[in-house]
Amino acid sequence: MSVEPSSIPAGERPGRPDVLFATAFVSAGTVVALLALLGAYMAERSSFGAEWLSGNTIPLTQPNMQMAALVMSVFTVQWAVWSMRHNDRSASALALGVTFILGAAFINQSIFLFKLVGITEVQPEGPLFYTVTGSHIAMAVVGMCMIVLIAFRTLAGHYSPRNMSALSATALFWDSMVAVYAAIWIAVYVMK
Amino acid sequence: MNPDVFLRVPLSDVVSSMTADRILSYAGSNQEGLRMAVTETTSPQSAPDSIASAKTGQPNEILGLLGSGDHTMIGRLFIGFSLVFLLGSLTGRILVGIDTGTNNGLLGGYQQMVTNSSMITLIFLGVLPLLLGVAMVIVPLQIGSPSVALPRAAALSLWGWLIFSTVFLTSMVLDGGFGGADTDAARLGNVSFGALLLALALGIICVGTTVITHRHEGMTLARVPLFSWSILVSAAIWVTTIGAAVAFVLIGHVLNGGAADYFTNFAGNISWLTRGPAVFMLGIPVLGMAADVVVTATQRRLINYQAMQALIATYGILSFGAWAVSNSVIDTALWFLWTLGIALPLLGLLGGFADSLRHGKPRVNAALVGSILSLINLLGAVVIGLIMSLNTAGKGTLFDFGTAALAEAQMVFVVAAAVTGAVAGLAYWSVKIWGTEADDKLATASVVMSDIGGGLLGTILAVAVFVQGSGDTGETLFGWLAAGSALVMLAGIAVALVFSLGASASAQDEDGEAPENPFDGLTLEWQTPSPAMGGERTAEIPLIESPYPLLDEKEGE
Repeated sequence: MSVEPSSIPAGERPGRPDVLFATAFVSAGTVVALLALLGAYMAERSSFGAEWLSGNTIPLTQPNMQMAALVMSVFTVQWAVWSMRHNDRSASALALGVTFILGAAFINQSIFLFKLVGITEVQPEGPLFYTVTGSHIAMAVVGMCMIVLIAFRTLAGHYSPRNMSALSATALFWDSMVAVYAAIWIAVYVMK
Repeated sequence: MNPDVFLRVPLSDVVSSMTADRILSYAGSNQEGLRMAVTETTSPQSAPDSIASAKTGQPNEILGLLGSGDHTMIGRLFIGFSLVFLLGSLTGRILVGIDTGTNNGLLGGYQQMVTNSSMITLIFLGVLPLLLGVAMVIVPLQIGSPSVALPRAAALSLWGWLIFSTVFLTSMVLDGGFGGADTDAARLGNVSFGALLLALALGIICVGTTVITHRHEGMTLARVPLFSWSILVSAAIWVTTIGAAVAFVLIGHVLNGGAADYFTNFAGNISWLTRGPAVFMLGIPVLGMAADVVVTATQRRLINYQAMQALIATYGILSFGAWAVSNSVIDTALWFLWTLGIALPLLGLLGGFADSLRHGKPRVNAALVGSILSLINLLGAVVIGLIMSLNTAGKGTLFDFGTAALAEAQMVFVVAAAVTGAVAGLAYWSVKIWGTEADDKLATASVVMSDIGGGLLGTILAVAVFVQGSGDTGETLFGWLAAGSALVMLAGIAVALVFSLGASASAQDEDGEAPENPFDGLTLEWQTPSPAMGGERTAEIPLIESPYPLLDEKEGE
């Protein structure tokens, strides 16, 4: 049978959001990557035994505050999603702004903590410690960049209750970042 | 070109119209001139192509290729380059065999680097992108979508993978790769490996997202054809597995040691990708391909479709191997159970396929032969896992050999299964991918040689472990045998490349003569022109009430 390309369209498809599901895949991959780093950190710590970070004192105050800030940010980012779903753009932008500030506070606290603990690169623990925590901070920075972009687009009126998949995707990525920090908080700071 | 056009037409429309022209040109179609870009003001026949291109602002063929977001084009390029890389990787394996046969008389100090790096290139430059390429072409067509999700990301995936694969091969040449002696080249190999993994992850995210978001109205997840379903499962497993692998690549880079340290990181933290359970992830799409081929060959629905989906998903979950990074995991009860567990979904699927083949009157062709052979090789890998598990369970009483040594044999079995399955898929969908049917004799020869060569290589590597474990060192003989069987596998892939190129060349010669549905396929990709082009169909998509809409139509007549 001779076949020539026709102009028949490939068909209608329901409006499922590409960005949201692609972000879900990316988030899953990133979470597994960070958990793998954390696993490597714990394995190394286990092989070191009592010598691990014996020359450094890791306080819990800062990690606890970081965890609290990020838990609050989960609520604020969901507030942004909820507001947009109810067509309240200004509240959504405000919520994104608060989330960004909480993220910035988290990074600020991280830097303060690193200076306080004083783990150096030449210590055997140093590279792995900073790989785990640094990778998570990088994830947080990516999340903050997404929030800034989405906030500006929200203010510009790009989103509506029917078209907010990018906002939902940002919230999903942010939530997975917080979940990873919860694991780091327990494994690195609480269990030491 | 009228510059005012840009004021009136969105850029995306301009780009997509250019892409449509380019696709027709690539396909060897005689439609030139029928489909003009909306920006075009002169006939393409009025001047030589290059001049016309310059005048009209249309990209020439090279630029068109580089800038294409058409999933069929991206998939074809993935397939072509991965077949070439497969040939190179197997050449490396042959060299390793000859080197063993000559007591390290060929590779000298490069032996370790070539052995380890060729394993990695076999999987991540060859098999995985080959499967991804087939999926990139077929999945959107199969679910009735005009394009892949995030097409620019898909193109980025292709070119990123190609560039970083080339950089990785360059690092091998410079004595880096994994196991080389040059520190800078080893660092380059480590970084490029991480980058090419990310590129592959991006590609599979695009295809996986396509299955979730681009399904035609009425096609629920329970009605997704099994190849597309297997790709969705693959996407979840591959992305998470690659995530873990990239983490260990990062650790290797941060530790920033010498060449030996990079190799230590590979052996301790990355080599798990080349053994069970992680290596079984290469088999997931093969299961879906085999299911579609069996259904087409028998013209019968599979029994209990949802159970088949569940079995593929179970197989996928059991092929997640990031938890088994440490080499010592092989000697644990969990690994034992996990390795045995993967046999269950495989046997379940084989039972379903056997039922269809028994009740139907299957039309035997290269695709069906290859699909069955690939499943047999997967079973071979499971058997190797069973032997490893028995070794773990009865250490000191039943067997006592190096379990890790069998891992390479297991990897070869899975790779052979994946390659054979992919080549069977190429033969099955040849008319959609390349534009004409593959020569069935050549395709059959290709799947048989790929499968038997890989199966022999795996068997030889496994037997060598037993024989050498019992004190008889026939190392040189096994080296030559391994080289010979790798050569057979290489010949099979070379034939696949030949029949693919042949089909592509025939398509260019025989404009408009390609059959639309030569195998009486029952899924939506068979309602597209041959070769397939993004967004083109030859008939209205019917009401979707099952995974096989064309069978529904037949039964309704």
